[in-house]
This record gives sequence, structure tokens and C-alpha cells, in this order.
Amino acid sequence: MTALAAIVATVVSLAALAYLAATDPKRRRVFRVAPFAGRRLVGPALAAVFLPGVLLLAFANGAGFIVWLGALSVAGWGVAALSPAQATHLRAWTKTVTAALGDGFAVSTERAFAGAAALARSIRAAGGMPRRIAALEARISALEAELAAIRESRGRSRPLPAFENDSASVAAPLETAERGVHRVPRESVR
Amino acid sequence: MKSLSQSQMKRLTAVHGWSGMLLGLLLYAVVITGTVVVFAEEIAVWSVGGNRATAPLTSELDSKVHAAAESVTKGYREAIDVWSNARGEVLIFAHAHARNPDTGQMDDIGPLIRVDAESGEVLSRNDGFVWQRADWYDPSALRHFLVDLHVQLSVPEPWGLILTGILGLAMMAAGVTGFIMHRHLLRDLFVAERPGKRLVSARDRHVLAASWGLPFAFLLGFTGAFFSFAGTVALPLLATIAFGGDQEALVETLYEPAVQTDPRPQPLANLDAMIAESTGRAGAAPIFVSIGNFGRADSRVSIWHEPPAGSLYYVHNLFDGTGRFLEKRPAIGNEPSTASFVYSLMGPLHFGNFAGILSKSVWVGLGAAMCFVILSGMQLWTRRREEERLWRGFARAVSVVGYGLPLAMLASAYAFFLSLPSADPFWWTPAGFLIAAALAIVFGCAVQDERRLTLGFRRSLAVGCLALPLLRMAAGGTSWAEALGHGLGTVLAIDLVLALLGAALLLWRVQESPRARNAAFRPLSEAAE
Amino acid sequence: MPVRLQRMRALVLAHPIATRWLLAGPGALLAAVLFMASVPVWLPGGSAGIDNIVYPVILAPLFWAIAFIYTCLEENLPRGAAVVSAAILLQGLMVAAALVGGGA
Repeated sequence: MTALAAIVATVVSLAALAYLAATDPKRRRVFRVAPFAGRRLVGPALAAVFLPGVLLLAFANGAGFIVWLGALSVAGWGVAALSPAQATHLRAWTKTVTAALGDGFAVSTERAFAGAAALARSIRAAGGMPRRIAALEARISALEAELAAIRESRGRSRPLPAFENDSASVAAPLETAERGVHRVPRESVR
Repeated sequence: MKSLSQSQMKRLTAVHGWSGMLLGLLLYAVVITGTVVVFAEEIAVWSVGGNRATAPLTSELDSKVHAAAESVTKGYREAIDVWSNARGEVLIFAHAHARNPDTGQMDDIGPLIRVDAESGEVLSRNDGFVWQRADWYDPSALRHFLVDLHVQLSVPEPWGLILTGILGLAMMAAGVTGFIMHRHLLRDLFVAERPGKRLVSARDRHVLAASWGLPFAFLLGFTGAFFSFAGTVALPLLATIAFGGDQEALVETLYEPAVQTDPRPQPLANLDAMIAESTGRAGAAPIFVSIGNFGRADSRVSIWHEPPAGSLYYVHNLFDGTGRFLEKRPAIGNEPSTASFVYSLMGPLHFGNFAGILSKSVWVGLGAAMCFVILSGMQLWTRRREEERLWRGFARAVSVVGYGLPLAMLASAYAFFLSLPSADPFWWTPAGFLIAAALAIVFGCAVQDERRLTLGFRRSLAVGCLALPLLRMAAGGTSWAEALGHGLGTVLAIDLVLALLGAALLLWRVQESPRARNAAFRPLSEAAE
Repeated sequence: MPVRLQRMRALVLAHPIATRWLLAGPGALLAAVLFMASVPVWLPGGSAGIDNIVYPVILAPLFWAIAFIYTCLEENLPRGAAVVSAAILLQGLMVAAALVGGGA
């Protein structure tokens, strides 16, 4: 646990140091790189550098704290000692390596995301089911009332209305209900 | 901080530079050997072929210690110390205190019995002032030599310790003066070495490494000076002031529990049960057991444990002769105190052995960084004065020592393995070091071309690293198959590290001329970022 | 200022380099050694009875560093000589008293 906590803390702090190094104005000036465009988040970066150490101490992990401090001294020097060109090459190499290793990982991740999205849609659709059922039940009640009225009027020799009209009149409210069901999840997604 | 006057800056620069130049090579020797002996235990295990015993101090120690105690005269039962060596054998040292005629100091004297951890068979027994005979208690002459080289530069006591203590003070002074001199330390914290191999590039290289390593450079110099001066200067002086010259009384006050004398015979309770209870309390493996007044009613058993996970400090549990747990002892003194807390920090902060491989690896990184600071500082100084013949010669000396010292340490390992079958490794290991050092100096004087010199040294180091595991196995050491079969990870790990080092040294290109470097450098566009 | 002190001041100012070497070298070293030896005299033992022994041993290298850096930075050389001499004298007297008195 000590080892894992110290390693995680070091990685977090190192990432923040790498950001500070990449955006450091004097370093960029010395190596004739254009000043960093955008706002340099020094405060949050410094917090990210020191907070892991503070947390290690807070959780009474004295050994982890000392390891973190030592590792940061060495690794921080390593990060700072890379010139911007070397840092760029290292980043490119890292991307190539992770791309080569992670191609399969990326594909399956993509598929997993697609599957998750479909599942989410189904869930959203399922989430709208009770409202849809209620709408259908209401429509069935209305239709039953209409049928009863027709049967009564048959007794008075009136022709039945056309089925198409009925289906259209059935379909339209259903469609409206469906649209309404679909509209609600989209809004809830937004 | 208030800015310095010109004269102050000039003085600090002179102090920083001259102390670095005069003591730098010696300081480099102390630091690089220190970097290597962070893994002293592992080197010892690797050099003797691996430690096959699993937890030697927890496997039926009681019967072994009782048997040993019965075999020694009563006078030597005053203190019985038990520990395991790099081979996993149990060492039982029953001793009293007497004045050593060779040194004139009070020293431990008695029989040292080496016992097989599994069978309990007595492997050897040596009687006398044990600490004067390293071959009695240390199976690895290589580890012994490397540690001695770091602790006192192989110079006899007390002068070697005083010398390394002075070097520790020099490191502190260099750190503080460098810190005061460098007014823009924080602003320059991310400024890498400027391209072009100019003088300012050499300065950048030194300043960057020194800035990042400053806290630990100070800490390691401070703790190193403490360890060097504590036994040689501090304790004798304080014994004179506070205890009328009685060093034994001082040691007893600081380290030994207060016990009411009771010489009545009383058999010692089961040691294995005490160790098991102590291990449960400490949450870490036992590493050392000390029994005071064995077989008496006033007997005390001290058991030391590795630092538990997350802690920096060794655990010291105290039991009485009946096996009853008495207390968890502070590092120094008879009760917990701030002084004890501060004292207990000195060891872990210097040795870096409180969290196993992880902390040791970080300490190796810190040591390597400090070696870089020392060498780059000397290179900067000689580069500034390269018109003068004296400083050109000194620059050559820096290269020779920079490469020659690791080469000589490697050669000492070769001498160790080659001498194992039929010669005295305690003689040949340092001899191998000296022979290789002499050859490195001759090579450095003979080869004029700097590039050829660097290439020659790197290739020698590379070949040395790559061939050493093969020599180790040829000299009867544990093969890789055997190491895998018995789970001897240390043997495999060190062989692997040597192989990787050797490969890295072979691939490490010698630097091009400054003109070629300047031509290669192109400013970056923002898009590349 | 008494005549003797004026003479000492003049001597220091006449040999600035030698004075600074003396102060930063043997001076700082002696001050640190006497610091280590004198602390047991005045520092209480603390709850465990060991503070007066452990602290001087641990802090001696730090005291040396402070003395050394001070003697390097002090611009007013007579003042620097006075401070270091006073530290040595005071601590030396405490040590002497302890030795004559039979231990701290």
C-alpha cells in the first residue's frame, strides 16, 4: 500500500511538473519557443504538485512521503533536464508506443462505447415505457368507448367507420405518444 | 532574501568552487560508493549465491540459541546476539566486554557460532574480538569492502571516519553556498541545458541538477557527517563531559534498558514464542535478537524488526526472561521523546532502506544525481580555466576518476569471484580495486584524445557489466535456472541490472563536437508543441 | 572603546584574509565542537533524560554550517571575529566548569 500510494502520488505530481515545465516562460524563451498561448494555471499546477505529498502525510504514511519527496527530486530533474525538442520527441514516441500497443485496446474500447451507447438508448427508451403504456391504455379506453358507441348505433342501422381511418386515428395518437416519449429522454439527456 | 554584495558573492563563489575542487574527487568517491551500497544487502546475497533460507530467525531459533549458550562459558552469556547472514545462516555471538590490546578500546569478545538455519548444524566457531575479523561474520568480502570504502574510504579508524565526516560537512557547505549564490533558483528550475556545448550550457547542467537535488544533498551530507562524527568525536567528548569519561556508562544510558540486578538462575522462556509475539506486535519480520544475562532472573530479550509498511522506523520490542512483553522501546533512551524521534530519523534518511526496493531505488537515483552534480561542477570549473595547463590536467583527472572509480569497483567484484575458490577474497577484493584504479590512471595518462579515452572507459565498463554475471556463475555461483527454481529474485535482478547497464553503456554515444551540435539545433515552431 | 580592543580591531582589519580563514576554518570548527560539549551543561535532560546528549550530537554539524556560512558572509570582520570569539569563550567556560565540577 505504501509503495502504491507513493507511486501514484509521484506520478500525479510529476504530471503537474511536466505541465509547469512545458509552459515555463523562461524555458521557452531560452529555447526560442513561442510563449505559451493561453492562461498558465500555476496555482492549480502547484497544488497538484504538493497535494499528493500532503495527503501522504495526512494518512500517516511517513515512508511514502519521504519516497515521494525523493522520487520527485530525481524525476523532477529528469523532466526539467529534457529540452523542449527532447520532450516533444518523447511525447511523440510515447504516443506511437501507446498507439501501437493500444490499437486493439482502442478498437474494443470503441466497440464497448458503441455498445454502451446503444444500451443507454434502450434504457432511456425503457425508461419512457410506463408513460407509453399509460398513453396506450388511455387510447384503448377511448377506442372501447367508441366501439360501444358504434355497437349502440348499429342497433340504430348506422354503417361502421373505415378501418384505415380507425388505424390512422389509432396510429396518430400512438405516434404522438411515441414522439412525446422520445422527446422526453432527449430533453433529459440534454 | 536580501541580495548579496559583490564581495560576499565573490567569497561564496570562491568557497563553493575551491571546496568543490579540493574535495570534489573524494566526495564523488563517497557518494558513488554510497549509491552502490544502498543495495549492500542485495549485493551480499547476490555475491554468495543467494539466500535459500526463508526467515532464518523464525525457524526453531530457541533450540539453536540454547545449544550455543550451553556450549560457552558463563562469562560470555552476558550478551548473546543473534542475526542471520547473507547466506541465510544463523550467527550466534555470545560475548562479554574487554579491552582490546590492538585498539586500546573496550570491545566485544567471545565465541561466534555459525549455524545452519534448517538443520541447526554448527558450521563454524571462532573465538576472540569478533568485529576485528570480517571473514568470521561476513560471507561477502565484496559487500564488506564496498561498505568500508563508503564509510571510511578504506582508511583506518578513526581517520577514515573523520575524513568522510569532513566530506559530509563539505557537501552541506557546498549546498548552502550554492543556494545562496543562485538568486534565481526558482525561476531557473525548468531551464534545461542550453544547446551548443557552450560554457553557459555546462553551467545550466550543473545548476539544474544541483537545484533539484539540493534538499537531499544537504540532508545526506548532514546525516553522513552525523554518523561519521558520532562515534569518533561526539560520544567520547560527551562521555568526558557528562559521564566523567566513562563511555560504557554513556552507552548504557542511551541504549540499554534499566534492569535491577538479579543473578538468580532462571531458564529463559521459549525464544520462538517471544519472536512470534514480537512479530505480531511489530507487523514486520525480525532482523536481530539480543539476549542480556542469559539464564538469569534479570534476563532481557530485545527483538528488532524491519520498519512496518508506511513507517520509517525499526521496531524494538523488549521481553523479560519469562517471555513477558515489557515494552516497545524507543530508538534511544528509556522512554519516547522528541530527541529519540529525531535520532530515529537519521538512519532511514541516510540509508533509504525503510521501504524495501522502492525507497532504495529512489536513493540510488538521488545518489546518481549527486554524482552528476559533483562531476558537472568540476567540469564547469575546469572549463572556465581550460587555457591553463594545470586545469586541463585536472579536467583529465576528473574524467579518469569519474569513469575509473566505477570501473575499479567492478574490478573488485571480479577479484572477489576469481579469488573465491582458493584464495582469500578479503585480501583480493581490495587488491582488485587498487589494480584496476592504477590501470585506469595509466590509461588516462597514456591516451591523449578525450573522445578515445571516454570511449575506452565506457566500453570497458560495458564489457565488465555484461561479463560479470557469467563470471559469477562460472565461479560456482547460482545459475539462472537454479535462481528461478528457488525463487532467488535478488540474484536474477542484479544480473539483469548489470546486463541493462552494460547495454546502455554500449549504446551511449560519445558527444559530438560543439560545432556539430550547433548545426543540429533548430528552434521549434509552436505547432510542434 | 578600550585600547586593547582597539588594537585587536586594527589587527583584524590589517589582516582581513588571514582573519577570515581563521574564523571560517578553525574558528567555526572549534565553535561547533564546543557547542557539542557545552550543550549537556545547560540543556535539561528532558522526559527521557537524554535530550542533553542526543541534541548536541545531532545538531553539531548544523551548528558548524551556520558558523561557517556566517563567517563567510559577515562583511564587518571585527564584528564577525567578536561573535565567533564570544561563542568560543562562553562555550569553553561552560565546558571547563563542567570538567572542573566533575561532569554535567
